[in-house]
Amino acid sequence: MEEEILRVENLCKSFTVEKSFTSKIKQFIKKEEPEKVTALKNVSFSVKEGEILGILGESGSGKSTLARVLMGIIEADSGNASLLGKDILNASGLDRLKILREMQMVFQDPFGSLDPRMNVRQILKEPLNIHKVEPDGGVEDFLIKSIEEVGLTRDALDKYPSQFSGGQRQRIGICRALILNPKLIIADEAVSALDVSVQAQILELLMELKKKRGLSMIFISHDVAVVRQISDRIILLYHGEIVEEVKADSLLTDIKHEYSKKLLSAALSLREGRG
Amino acid sequence: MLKIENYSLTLIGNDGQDLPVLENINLEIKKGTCLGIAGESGSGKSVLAMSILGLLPKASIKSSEGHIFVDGEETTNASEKVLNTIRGNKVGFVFQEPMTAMNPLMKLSEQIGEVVYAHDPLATKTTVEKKVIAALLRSGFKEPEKFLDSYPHQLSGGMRQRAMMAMALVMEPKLIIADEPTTAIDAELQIELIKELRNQIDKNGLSMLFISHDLGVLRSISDEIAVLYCGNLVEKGPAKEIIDNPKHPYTADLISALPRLVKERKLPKSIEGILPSPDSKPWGCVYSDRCKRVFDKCSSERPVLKQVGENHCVACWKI
Ligand SMILES: Nc1ncnc2c1ncn2[C@@H]1O[C@H](COP(=O)(O)OP(=O)(O)OP(=O)(O)O)[C@@H](O)[C@H]1O
Ligand SMILES: Nc1ncnc2c1ncn2[C@@H]1O[C@H](COP(=O)(O)OP(=O)(O)OP(=O)(O)O)[C@@H](O)[C@H]1O
Ligand SMILES: [Mg+2]
Ligand SMILES: [Mg+2]
Repeated sequence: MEEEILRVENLCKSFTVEKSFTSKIKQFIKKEEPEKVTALKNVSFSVKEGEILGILGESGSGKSTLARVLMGIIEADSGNASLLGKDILNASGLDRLKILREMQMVFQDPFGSLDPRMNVRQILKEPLNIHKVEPDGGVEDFLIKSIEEVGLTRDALDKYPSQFSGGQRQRIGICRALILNPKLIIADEAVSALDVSVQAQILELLMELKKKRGLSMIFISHDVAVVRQISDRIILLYHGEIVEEVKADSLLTDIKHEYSKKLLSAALSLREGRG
Repeated sequence: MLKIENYSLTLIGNDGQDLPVLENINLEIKKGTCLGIAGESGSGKSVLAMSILGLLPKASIKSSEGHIFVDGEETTNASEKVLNTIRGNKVGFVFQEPMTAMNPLMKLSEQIGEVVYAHDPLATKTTVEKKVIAALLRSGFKEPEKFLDSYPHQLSGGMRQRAMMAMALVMEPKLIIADEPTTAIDAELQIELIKELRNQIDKNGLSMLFISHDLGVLRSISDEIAVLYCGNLVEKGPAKEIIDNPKHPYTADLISALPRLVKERKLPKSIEGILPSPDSKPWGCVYSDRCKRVFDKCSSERPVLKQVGENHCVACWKI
């Protein structure tokens, strides 16, 4: 239970602010440094086996950037990250592929993240093919078992993404992320676009999977109430820096940083009409 | 400001079948008020919003009945020319999906500036920029000057959503139709944005149609709330009444599905079953196959809206 799955140390990332051509020339002539946004600043944390780590922070605080750096979609400026002791930021080729087997992402947008031209069977088979995995008992049985595990029926395999509702598509996204039996799932605003009822269903599903598989998860959202429901531990990002780390059980009572208090009181007033 | 009278809409499905997505809708928004529309995914909220400005692709419409008036002008069956002057001049529209509504190759300043130019081709560059910045600030965008030259993919999810709001606000329309405008932004920004919009509603007489599946958000912005299920209005009334004293079982179930921030940490309750598609609605009450309070009559006869209080109507046989 206590084994550490992911360790992240001093992760930094900044972006150059996009400027028009003329401002770039002006900057060049005046020898000014290009303007930067700091998206991540000395971010360090770890995730244990079977743990759900929630990441909260206002819009633009660097949450998605963190997910994208860990998944290798964008490069960090500096810092380290390791999955089960193996460096993940500088991996390439085969090593990268091995890491992706252990670490998968669920995206916010259930519409944009599934290829509309592939049916569900093809969508789910793709990672198996890429990683040359041959499940015991045959692929078809394995796919049926997998799709049933996320609460869909086997006839879903022959349908296309457009034939599903938003919540069902998100279930397919989760199924695809789980198909290689990864150790860690990174979910970036995975339920934000879903209606409240479907949101509740997906949260139930994730909790169940966590229990059954001992899955670890980084659960990113701007919604305080949702993150608190699902997480064991929560970290709060502010302008790319971790300002607070707290057990989910004591989020309402135990936070110290001014910024976290503000975030919480806004959420309380919106959710409970007080705070 | 907005009047929807006995409006029904049938779209054409993938296999050419009829999809009755809206049935006999009656709604009204008075000047200087906000109407919230709630309902699960697929209940017809976006289709209703798009119908107001004739934004649905003509090819997907089978038939429509009834009338919609914006500021006294009928938009149902209006010509594209009439619709164009209403869009933008009188009505600002905030689309549900910023990534599809924004041009990926246009900078932030150009996306919003374009709207200003469309209505005032002679505007100078500085006035346009001023207007753009003001609209972004009013939408809760922090340090907008810094991001004027950024492309959509360089903005965070919440920034894109605020940019959409700015595009609607920049022309100072009389009516704003906002389709899920706050799903990607945090509570603090939501509160700020709601305050700003509420201010314009109360002080400048702005009217608003605010769509959200989140009744918690609707409570804080709306004067009235209408609950849509399967293309039918099942309940409508004053916002406070609807939340504190929901009469329709569906409204009550939607409220229990909201994530809460109370002492006890437990998962919200999802509504069992799924929303039927428009071509397979139950015969009687549209909610009868998921309702926990169902009895014989519910599956044989469709209930109509009945007055239960001042401005409060419910369509349910139990009432
Ligand atoms: N590709 C990029 N180029 C330039 N700047 C970027 C890029 N991606 C992100 N940024 C900037 O980095 C900052 C952090 O963005 P990020 O998307 O990580 O925020 P977030 O916490 O996910 O916000 P949200 O809750 O709104 O999704 C923002 O200021 C954003 O403009
Ligand atoms: N262009 C179209 N052609 C055919 N059917 C459509 C079209 N647009 C929407 N529909 C159908 O109309 C119904 C209502 O969809 P709508 O997009 O209005 O739902 P919504 O309440 O906005 O849901 P969400 O919360 O997911 O945005 C759905 O069954 C949908 O599949
Ligand atoms: Mg994000
Ligand atoms: Mg919609």
